[in-house]
Amino acid sequence: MIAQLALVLAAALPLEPASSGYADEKGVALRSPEGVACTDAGAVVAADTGNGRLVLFTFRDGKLVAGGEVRAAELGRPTRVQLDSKGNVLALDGKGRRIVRIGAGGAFAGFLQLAGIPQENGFFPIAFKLGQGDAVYLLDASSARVVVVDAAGAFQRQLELPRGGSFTDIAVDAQGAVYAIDGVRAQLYLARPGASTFAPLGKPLKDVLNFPTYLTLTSQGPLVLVDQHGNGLVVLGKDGAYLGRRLSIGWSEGLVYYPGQVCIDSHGDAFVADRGNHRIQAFTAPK
Amino acid sequence: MTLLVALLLAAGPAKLLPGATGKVCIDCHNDFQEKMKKPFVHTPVKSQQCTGCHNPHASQHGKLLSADADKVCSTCHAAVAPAQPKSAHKPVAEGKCASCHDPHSSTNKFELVAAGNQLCASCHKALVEQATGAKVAHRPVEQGGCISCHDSHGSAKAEHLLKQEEKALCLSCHKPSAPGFAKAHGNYAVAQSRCTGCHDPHGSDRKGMLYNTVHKPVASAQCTECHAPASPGKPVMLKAQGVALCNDCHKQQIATMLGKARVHQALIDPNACLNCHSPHAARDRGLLRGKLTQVCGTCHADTIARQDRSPTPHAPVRDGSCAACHDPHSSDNVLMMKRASTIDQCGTCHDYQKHTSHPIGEKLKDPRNRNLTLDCLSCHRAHGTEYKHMVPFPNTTDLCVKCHEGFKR
Repeated sequence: MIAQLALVLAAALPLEPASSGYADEKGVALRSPEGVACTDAGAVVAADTGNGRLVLFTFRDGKLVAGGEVRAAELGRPTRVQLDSKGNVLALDGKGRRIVRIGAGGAFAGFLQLAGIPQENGFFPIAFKLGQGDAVYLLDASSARVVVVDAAGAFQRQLELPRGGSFTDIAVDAQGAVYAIDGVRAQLYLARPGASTFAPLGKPLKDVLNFPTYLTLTSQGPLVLVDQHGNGLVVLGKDGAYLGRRLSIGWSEGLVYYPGQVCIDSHGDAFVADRGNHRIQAFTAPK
Repeated sequence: MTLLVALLLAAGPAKLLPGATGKVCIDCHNDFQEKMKKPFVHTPVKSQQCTGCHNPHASQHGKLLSADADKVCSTCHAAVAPAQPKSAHKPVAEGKCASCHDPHSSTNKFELVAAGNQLCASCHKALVEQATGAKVAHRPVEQGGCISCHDSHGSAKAEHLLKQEEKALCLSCHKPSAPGFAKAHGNYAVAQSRCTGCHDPHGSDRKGMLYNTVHKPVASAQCTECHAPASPGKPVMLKAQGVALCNDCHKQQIATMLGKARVHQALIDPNACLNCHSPHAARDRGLLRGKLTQVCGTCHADTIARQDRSPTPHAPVRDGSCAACHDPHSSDNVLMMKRASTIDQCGTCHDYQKHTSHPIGEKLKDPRNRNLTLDCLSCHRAHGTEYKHMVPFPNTTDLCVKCHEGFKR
């Protein structure tokens, strides 16, 4: 029964290569894109990190169609992107170490103005996710914590990460549970809704994961990790159990080379920021 | 005949007739006359009970031993190593007792094949040379050798074959209450700390047996550069946490590091610089906590392990020169590479691109991916693969036909 359930969950992760985005609508090639965000309506935003810009795509009929670029002086090195409920793009500027908001029309709409965050050991955001009401969950590496601010940036609460970890990403579910991944130990942690600390979820996954750097939840249930140094995606159950591995290293379409971020929409279509291959790849669920 | 051998093997230790001792063996093995004259003779040899270890007729084991060579000693000496060791000496764990002991006789006590530290040096040469050649020697090493602190078989109490846990072992001789101890340590409660964080127990060339690379404030006894004065309840409190602690002195270096597009996460987490560097003293230059493969391997174990499986070693990885290609602090390039261009990076050691290389460069598109141009990593993986020449495919044909599809069979 458990094995069958595992197969069902693992099969939920798209596998079929559909299409790749290599350039914007003017043919300017992507350069080391590290981030990608998507919506159920087919909007795909790539953080074209090496070129210091965002590139818009549309995913229609199994094809990624290139759109225009979005540049902002305030966003010199976008690394991770998320789309909020209003269609704004929130991008982490890896060099400025702040969240930049780009309006639905593609114009710079200001920084996320953080207010009231306790100082502790400094603040150095390396990842973020959006929760209910577009609350922003920031992974602060320098103080080993997750800081939660509202959509305007006002401090709400913070969750202390386990000491000694090397956390690379977080994910938030609809109920407010926060997941965190320790990239070195390949150990998943969970802070249940309302909790202020994390507890290990499942066993360390070092035998199946090389160096996970990105974590996302799917509407179908499983969690998906980007194993950047292992060049693949790893699917976990919500209990942290290993369900399977997808993709592998390579240069041709359908393969990945040091992937950055993955976005999975509610249809099961997945978009991978294939950093080392300088492209965004789309995958659809197997028919 | 086969049946006879089987019966002999099944019979177990040979039961000799009364009076027929090992003298019978020595009649033929007459080199034992000399062996038995040595000052230290293994008890069964001395009592001429050769059958204690050998079967005189036939054996499934080499040298007619009555059990496997790695098990025969433990039939009598099972208790020499702890049953549940915290650390075990490799030859003991592998049953290779003869690496250190002569099973018959020796001029050394315990039938050791060499005396004292000389024996240990047969495997641990560099360590013994350091210990015996140090300007500031550790007295127990001078007087009693390695076994002053280490149990040569295994330790039930500590790592590294130490006779006790490290702190307890050091404090068994170095009493914190002794005059001068507190003064030498700036009145900080160092007895709570790990002594080998600063001191080399095998001796060093520095006063106080500090490791040879000493952090400047430690060398000048300026502990308060980093620590708040000791107070009850806060014996060794730091003046600041994380990178802020080091920033007071290393401001310019740290500003440069943090100014790059990619900052090594180890540099910004709560331990910051101390993840890789020792704050007091270290054996390695740059106050590193060990060789780079060891320091980097703490987090990037899988990447380091790839090299171990590679039939073709890449010299910088093999030699622990991770910083030959990567900037361990920060970089504007992916994977913290020192150079933006792979060809430039590899070119710092290899100049193939200047003469006999497969065509590579910015003008040559990779047929597999229109956004890639051909460079060294088009065919190789820098940390090695399970195949020769660091290529990701089992043979050259498999590699080449990925692009030259017309030659695919």
